[in-house]
Amino acid sequence: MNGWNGKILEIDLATHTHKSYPLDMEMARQFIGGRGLGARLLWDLVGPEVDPLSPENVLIFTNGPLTATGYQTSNRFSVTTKSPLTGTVLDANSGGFWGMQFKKTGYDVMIVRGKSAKPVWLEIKNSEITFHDASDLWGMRVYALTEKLGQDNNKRNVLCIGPAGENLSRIAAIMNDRERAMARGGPGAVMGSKNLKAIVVEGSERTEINDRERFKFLLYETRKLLAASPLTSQALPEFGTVVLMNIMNNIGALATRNHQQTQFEGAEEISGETLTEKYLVKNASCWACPIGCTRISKTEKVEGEGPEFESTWAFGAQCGIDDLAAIIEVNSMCNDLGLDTISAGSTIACAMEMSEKGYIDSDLRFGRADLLARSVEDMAYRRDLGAEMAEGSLRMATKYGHPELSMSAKGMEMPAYDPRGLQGQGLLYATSNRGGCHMRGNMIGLEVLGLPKLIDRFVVQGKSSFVILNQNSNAAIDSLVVCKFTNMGVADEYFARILGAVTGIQYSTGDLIRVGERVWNLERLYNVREGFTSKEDTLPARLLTEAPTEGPSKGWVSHLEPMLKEYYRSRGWDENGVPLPKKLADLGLANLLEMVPN
Amino acid sequence: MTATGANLADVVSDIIRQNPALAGQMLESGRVRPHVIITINGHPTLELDAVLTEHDQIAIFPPIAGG
Repeated sequence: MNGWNGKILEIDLATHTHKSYPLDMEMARQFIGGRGLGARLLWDLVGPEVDPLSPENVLIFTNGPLTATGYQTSNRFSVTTKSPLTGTVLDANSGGFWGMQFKKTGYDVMIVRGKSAKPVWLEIKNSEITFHDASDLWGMRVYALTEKLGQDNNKRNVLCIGPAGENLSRIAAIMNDRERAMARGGPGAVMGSKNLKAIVVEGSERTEINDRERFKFLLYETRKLLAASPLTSQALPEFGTVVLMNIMNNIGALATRNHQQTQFEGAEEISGETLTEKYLVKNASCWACPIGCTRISKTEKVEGEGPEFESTWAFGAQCGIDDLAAIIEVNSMCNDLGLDTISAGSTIACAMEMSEKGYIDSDLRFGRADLLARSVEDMAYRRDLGAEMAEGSLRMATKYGHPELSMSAKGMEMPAYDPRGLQGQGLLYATSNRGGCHMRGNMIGLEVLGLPKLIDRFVVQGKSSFVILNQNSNAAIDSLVVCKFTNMGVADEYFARILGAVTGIQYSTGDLIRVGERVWNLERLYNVREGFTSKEDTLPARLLTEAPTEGPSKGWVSHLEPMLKEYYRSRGWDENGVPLPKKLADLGLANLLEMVPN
Repeated sequence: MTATGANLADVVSDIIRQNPALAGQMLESGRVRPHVIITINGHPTLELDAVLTEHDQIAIFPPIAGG
């Protein structure tokens, strides 16, 4: 078997037993791995009757045929589940080293089912699976736990939850390799609901490659391309992702103070340039990555990985805070507690606005950097207002009678890019299958950076075709599973070529994008089966009706409705956003229709 | 800083004249490198022949990537 190991490991936490069986290779050809394979398996395993925090929900860890081959960034892996935050299909992926090591244990997929009667942690050494009592580990934070379980980057890798997951915070992350996060949508809470504290992997199996000479040549070519691209050889290693802060602010698309404004007067103080100047120790890389976008930052209190742009924005501009040291420190706290930084920061911002308007009794105010640490601790331990914040901004705001103050789409807090300054980005958030997310097909390349071309960010007509292309491409890359940053130096055709060299199955670029389209439509159908309708393809009223009063986005709101109609048509869906039978048949998904009511 | 020029290309030339070290970062074979991002009053542009007026604000960014 080339690329894939051809095996699924299934864990039953209720009985502390396991079994393995062959991977359906026809399914693997159609969905490849990672996000795609996870979605297809979730379709069969978790239906609309399942509560995300019940034992009937599953966690599906997947790698891909490229994982652990040594190809650029072939370290990533995915987790798929039903989200406790949104109720949609959820996948989250992460870098670091765990995914590579999991592939080396000899499995492509691990399905975790049921709930253990007592806290447990799993140890997987190739085919040797051990269930360990985790009673004395329950309550431990991520950093201490990772060290205690013997983390060694290239040999033994720890994946775990912190207190946030144990306490079923709907914005809890699954952490791996100490500071890597599978964060969006609350997968940490699903793991906590199963009493599963950690999964440790050690493997020695080698991934077989069909055409090793061709693989080596493509490795050489893509390495040259990444070295030649200013984005992957200069921008990311030198400044990291936080370099986006100044330009997003300059163009008036930096959501500020819970999306009340689109520019932040303190942007320079929390920019990538300032981070590099004042707090950067060095950059770092995941396994098999030549780019090195990771920041290692140091303040008086902490030293560690991060922060990334979104985390810096969420605790920065979104909360009206320009204290970069405080942001670095709370980012580290979130990693240690196991919390999604985007949702945490944006939920705090929501609470800040509600507090300032007198809707809740709290001392939270925009600009109060001194309250960040207490807020994330309270979220992780469900203390005081933290118990509400742990539910995410929409549930919290709804409880206090103001759901309109949650800056979320389908219940997931949106990232930094304000749709009033980027029309295409708004359509992206509204149609994302897992909720308000920029990683489903970021439009800033086209609407801001001119990559691969510059399109007018305020134009509405025709925007959907670009969004669809981005979404399909990103779904394909997420199914490989490799890092999207490689796509900034290496074109899609190279992914198809390397996949062919490794597996021996010839995919054209079009075939690969088609995989992405298949995954996208399957996810959509999953959500339809869950009861989602076009009503949920929307944005907060603030973005649809309140235009910024100053800056380059002055006067603009998100013109979602015409873009959405065009999007449905272009996707081959009906006017309610349901994939039509013809589209599903074209993608080989027609057999799934009978499982969707009406 | 202040720079002068009738259009964006002239202004970029004036900026490089004032800061010669930027030439290697910004130019390639006499043209602005594709990954250099320029905004006029907060609007990204590739039009170097864009005519400018007094008090227009130009921002120049290094290669930028992220998510």
